[in-house]
Amino acid sequence: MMTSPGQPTGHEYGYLTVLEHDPDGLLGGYLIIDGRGRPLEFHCTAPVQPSRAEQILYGPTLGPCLVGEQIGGGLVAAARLRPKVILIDKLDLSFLGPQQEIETVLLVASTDTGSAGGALEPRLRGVGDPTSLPQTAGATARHSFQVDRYRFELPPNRLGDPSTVSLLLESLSQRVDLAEPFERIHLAIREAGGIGGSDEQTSVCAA
Amino acid sequence: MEVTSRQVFAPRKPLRQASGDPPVSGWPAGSGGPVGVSRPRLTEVQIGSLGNPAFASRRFVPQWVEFISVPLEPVKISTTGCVFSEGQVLLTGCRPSRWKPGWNAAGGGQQSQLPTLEADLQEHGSGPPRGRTRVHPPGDIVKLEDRLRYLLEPPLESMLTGEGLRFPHPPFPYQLDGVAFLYPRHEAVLADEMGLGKTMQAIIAARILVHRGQVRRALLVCPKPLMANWQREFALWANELPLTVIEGHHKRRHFLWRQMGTGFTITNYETVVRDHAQLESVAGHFDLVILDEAQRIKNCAGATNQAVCSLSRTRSWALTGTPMENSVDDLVGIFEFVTPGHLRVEMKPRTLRRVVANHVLRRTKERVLKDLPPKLYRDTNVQLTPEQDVTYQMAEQEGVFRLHELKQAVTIQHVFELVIRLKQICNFDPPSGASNKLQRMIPDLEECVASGRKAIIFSQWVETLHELQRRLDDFHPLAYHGRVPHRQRARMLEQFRDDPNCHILLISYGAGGVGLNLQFANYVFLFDRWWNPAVEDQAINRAHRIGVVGPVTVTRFVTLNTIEERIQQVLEKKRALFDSIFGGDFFSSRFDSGSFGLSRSDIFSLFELPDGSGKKEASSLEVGGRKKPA
Repeated sequence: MMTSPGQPTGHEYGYLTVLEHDPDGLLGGYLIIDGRGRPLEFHCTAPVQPSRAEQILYGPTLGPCLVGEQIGGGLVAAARLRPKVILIDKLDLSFLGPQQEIETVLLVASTDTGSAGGALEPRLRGVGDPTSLPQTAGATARHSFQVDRYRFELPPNRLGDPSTVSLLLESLSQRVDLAEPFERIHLAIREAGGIGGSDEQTSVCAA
Repeated sequence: MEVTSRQVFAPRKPLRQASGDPPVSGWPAGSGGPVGVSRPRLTEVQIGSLGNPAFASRRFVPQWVEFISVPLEPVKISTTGCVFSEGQVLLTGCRPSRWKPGWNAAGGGQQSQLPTLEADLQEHGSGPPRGRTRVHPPGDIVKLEDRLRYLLEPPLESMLTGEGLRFPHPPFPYQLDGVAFLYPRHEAVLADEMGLGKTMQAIIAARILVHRGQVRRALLVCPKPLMANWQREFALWANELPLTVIEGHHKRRHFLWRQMGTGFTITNYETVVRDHAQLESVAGHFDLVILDEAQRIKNCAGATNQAVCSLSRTRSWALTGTPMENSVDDLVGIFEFVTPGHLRVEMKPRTLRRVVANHVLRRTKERVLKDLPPKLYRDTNVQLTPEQDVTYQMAEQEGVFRLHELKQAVTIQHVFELVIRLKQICNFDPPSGASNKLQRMIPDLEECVASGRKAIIFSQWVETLHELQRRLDDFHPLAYHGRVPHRQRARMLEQFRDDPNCHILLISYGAGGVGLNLQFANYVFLFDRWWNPAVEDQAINRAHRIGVVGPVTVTRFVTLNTIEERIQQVLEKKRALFDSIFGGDFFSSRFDSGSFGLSRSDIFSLFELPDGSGKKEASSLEVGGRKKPA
């Protein structure tokens, strides 16, 4: 059955992440894959460096605004395909602004090692670790579940039924290591940004 | 960021008096900024009034206020992206063009349907592969989108599973690295040491390309004795790929060349040379051409090199365990096929190493197969028997005398003839048949047989193999060499492998040096040494390869105070040269630019002959058109 491009067929999954590269700033990357893990679309940003004034004035809202709305929202908007779920590895990326209609799910940790999975890198300095963020009063409780060897959390601003998201990820985990596409995005961001490889690991870290 | 100061009329609001209260805020309409910092400016009367509590409840209406605005415009995010159209096509349910009638993964000549995810899951079971072998774009791909295309592919293990490719047993990690090296490259030399599985790596990489629709017509050229081996490997690693073998009578060959369609074609170097004209006119373009034992084309001026280089092709892969047998010329010859004009003979080793780095992948057993049992070398020095010594001295004196008599007319050919004659005497004394090497070897063979093991004995000459076969008759050895008809060779190898009473295989360097799998033999004897270590390594690796059980003991005979000992010293120099380009200490003090190959002066110095003829340096010991024996 023919479907027009841009409409979800139920087999697309988005992966969204942001790297911080000293001194260029933040680089976002967004990869959409099919159920076998093959790439369908990829978008990345040019480096974004908040000014000192912005850092002061935005304060604790810098993460959701810059990382989430501006970078994450911009990447999702630039894509032709609209997956049903976007996997993120930073809580700030759940605030996608106008793109909020797509469900986001946060990959928290790998239960294999007891710590963040292989693809998960240190968080953006200054933005709280999602696992340590307290639940704010009145907010919808975070829903946590496990798929394969990874633990996921739906952000407080989730849209739909957690079990639906869980089923989607279960389906993907049959063919794809759920954290592995983040590695590809990191490699692609480094390639697109002309950033070196492992030798420069200390200056390139996840935002 | 621009800071502006404006004077506007503030709205009528009471002034805040407590120091902790936020300032009165206001911003020019339409600025879009969330925050403006304002300092209300008061008239002097108002300032004075502020200090008087009596005026605290009065409303002060400033006439104007000055603003310092800090506009925080939305961050402009520029993005770069690419859409992978083949993925989109799969999404929309279109059938990729690679699925031609009769070409299907299931076999049987029936047209396959595009596999659905559900069908894949049922067939392959759940759970993604854990391996993370990445395909990296080669250095000559400069377009960002093309480079990203490779980086964003799933790991090779997932790719293989996703394409539905099954294997009889999982490849080693280094073999997957080899596949990841070949897959994105249009020009590649896989130069792994013998026995590491170059054949299967090439087959798997080609198989992926076929399934991805990037290769439809492919040609594999190999030495004639290895054609059967390649067919077996294809059956094992890619049994769904259509295979055509072209050899035999010229009418049959011509018919097959004309009929050649999609799929893989296997032929040998001799056929390519003989049917060169027909290949040019009929065969058309190949998406992929693979050369096995590519050192066969090392001579740029040779007919073989010119024939294969003239094939119309998109991808050129060369497989060889000995990319440089004697000199840089060999490597240049191979690269004339892989990427013409890329190398020049006069390049220095450091430049060579840098230039070939993107195209050559070489691994050694010591590096990648740490679990492979070791090779145990036993260099056995022997003396000539009295009979051999008499014959040897006489032959050397006569030979050297004749060479001196020739003066300027002496050629490399004359020297070779003397060298070969002396080496043969080191093996067996012609008049009496005395041989210290044989005497030394017999106890080892007895031990080998007693322990139920198998041994391979290499020699350059068929006559030596015949003599050994006669003298070792008690052990019932088999002799495998160039004069054995091809149809008998496979049977002979099977007998050596399967017959528990067959312990010894006598084999020539020429016939047995390439491509044979003899990993069931634990003992290798080099009855006489070859001219360069690469060929010796190739011979040894018939036994020391994947699948070998237990260590392989290699016994190398050298007769002291003879031409053999002098040649060994030259061989050590060649090994240092090879390591300087393909591994080892690049700045080895033993290396210098003058030691490329075996120069004329090196050869003449074996007999302390003056080199005054002014002829070009010999780049190999096979100059003068002398072919390798047997």
